[in-house]
Amino acid sequence: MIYRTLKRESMAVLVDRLKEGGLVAPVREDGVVVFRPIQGDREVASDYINPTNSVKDVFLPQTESLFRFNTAEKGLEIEATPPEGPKYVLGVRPCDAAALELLDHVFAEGQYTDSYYQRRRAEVTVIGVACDQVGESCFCTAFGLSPGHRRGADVMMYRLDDESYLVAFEGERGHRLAEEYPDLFGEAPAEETIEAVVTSYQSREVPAGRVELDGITEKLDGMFEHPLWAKLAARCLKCGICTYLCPTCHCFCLDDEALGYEGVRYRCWDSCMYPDYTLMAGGHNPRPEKANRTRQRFMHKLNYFVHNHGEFQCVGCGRCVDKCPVGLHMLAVIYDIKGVDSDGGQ
Amino acid sequence: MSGMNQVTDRLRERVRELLADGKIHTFIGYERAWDPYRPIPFFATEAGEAERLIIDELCVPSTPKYMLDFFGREGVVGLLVKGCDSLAVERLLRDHRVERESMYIIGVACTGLLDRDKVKARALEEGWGAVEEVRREGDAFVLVTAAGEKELGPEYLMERCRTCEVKVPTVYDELLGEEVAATAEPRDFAEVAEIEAMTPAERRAYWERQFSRCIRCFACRNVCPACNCRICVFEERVPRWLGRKTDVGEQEMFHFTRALHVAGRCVDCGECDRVCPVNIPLRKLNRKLMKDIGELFGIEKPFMPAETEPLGQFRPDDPDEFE
Repeated sequence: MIYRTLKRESMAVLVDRLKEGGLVAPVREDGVVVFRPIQGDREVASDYINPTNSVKDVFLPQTESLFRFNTAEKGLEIEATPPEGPKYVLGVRPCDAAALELLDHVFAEGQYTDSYYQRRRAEVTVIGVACDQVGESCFCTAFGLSPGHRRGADVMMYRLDDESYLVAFEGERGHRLAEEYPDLFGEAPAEETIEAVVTSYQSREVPAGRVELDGITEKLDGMFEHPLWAKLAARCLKCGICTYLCPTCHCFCLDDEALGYEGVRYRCWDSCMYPDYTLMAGGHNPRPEKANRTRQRFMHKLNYFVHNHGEFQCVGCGRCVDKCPVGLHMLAVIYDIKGVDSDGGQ
Repeated sequence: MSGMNQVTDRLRERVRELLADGKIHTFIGYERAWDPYRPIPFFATEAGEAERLIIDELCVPSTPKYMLDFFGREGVVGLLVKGCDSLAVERLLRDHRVERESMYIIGVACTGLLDRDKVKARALEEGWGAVEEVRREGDAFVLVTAAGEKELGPEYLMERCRTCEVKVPTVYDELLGEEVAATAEPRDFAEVAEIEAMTPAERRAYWERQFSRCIRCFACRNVCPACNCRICVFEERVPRWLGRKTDVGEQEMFHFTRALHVAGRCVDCGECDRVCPVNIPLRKLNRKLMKDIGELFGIEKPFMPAETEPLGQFRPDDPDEFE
């Protein structure tokens, strides 16, 4: 761990340098803040709670070419299409950075790993900015995170005073950034100052995060057939907002785009909220009802993932809370699960 | 002018009766939920649940599209329907996607809904806390909040409500509340004119930027009462009309196809605009087509579902610019 400082006016210089290597950062566009590649004089947004799309877009792009194929000669020729993308992503909130470590469980650990994802994780430096504002939909503290957490981030910036940031560099990628631009970063402040600043962020109050999750996984063990799911799902629009904006949802499907003998196999996001997500060849659908799909989404995050990987698959970023058009989001559902008698489900 | 909350007691009473008498098996209305500034659709199935129902100017989500979830199911569904929602009901009826007999419609006269995001921004800024009740007093909205009563002017109306000419539902089984005269600002399509004034290159850049944010969540399609096909063209696998890829070409294929599919059938409820998580101005696109249809076919209210619709018929005197 290295600490340095960064003058606010040097931020623009840093952005300019990172741009050369390929940078994704939040921009304000038509009334929303979204992660976008930064090119030309495109301005990086600073005053936002969290971009509408998540940092997942960088590591697991919505559409990603995996290989090209040609079946004209010699039967089958395959040529890999190595992952392209930025070298840096800036302005990541602590919740999103932590979400990357949850995605790691799926794509970078265990028996099956994903080389495209792994390569991006190895090459992209995650530069976080601790949260000065806490949104009313934010509930990161419910998952042991905070507005100043560093989990999953290579670099984290904290506002030190009106003129400068305190910057924490962690691990190989973090240290590399500090070494690459020594002229931009100033000496670390006194240890007590560092401690005070980091603690102030990490102990910042997150009102919606007071929700208590103890025992919810065990309770859900017995709620597979509970009538709550149908009650909740009634209002669902069957859209993919919650899963696509979620920094931890990671389902995808594979598809070919071919013309004649040649084509590309690409991977693209898919959503368990879509009726055709589990549709089998032959027409059978094991999750035919909205209730089945709603159950899947919340069970996966609060139960299956815990059983498989030892932690919840949610970081409390609040995107589903903000954007679900009918209020069918993680916070509402946690309270609903806690409120029902689990016996209804057996 | 009084607010919709005036009829809350009567609404609960009627729904309780309808459910208790078995006239309906479900009633779709609203309840206040986790975010009290954003009431959510509530499906009451037992008489006792009628107590949870509310209705006020923050109750925005349209209810009729949910009828498709009951397709093929026995019995009657009760619906709370505002003016704009009633056009959605008519849309589904004219497209033969619901049976009139399968719905029991409680209409409520609406004088305009509040723009939740605008209200919420102010509430957060000024620390109003939870909202318990919304009233209408003259042109103003009064919010009863944890921090006392707060008054909001007509500038907090939803954009789509400013030009609304359908305050009283066009179809219902019973109507709650007093009839209100439609006092709408003229539908001048100013926002469409802005786009029309662009050069083709500017226009292309504008829509490419908008569509490039699209995450293909299909919320716009799913909420739309005119998007009611049994199998959506975008879900057909053979032939594959829309690739899952999210490049510019596929995004345009999706949005332009959808706009053209609902052309002449869009009721201008604005729900697509409301649900889009990345602010794509979808209503603008639909209203461009609405404006053109209105002008080309001489239709005064092209958003009103009609017996014979311009793109659903042929007349020898139809305009033919290519002659």
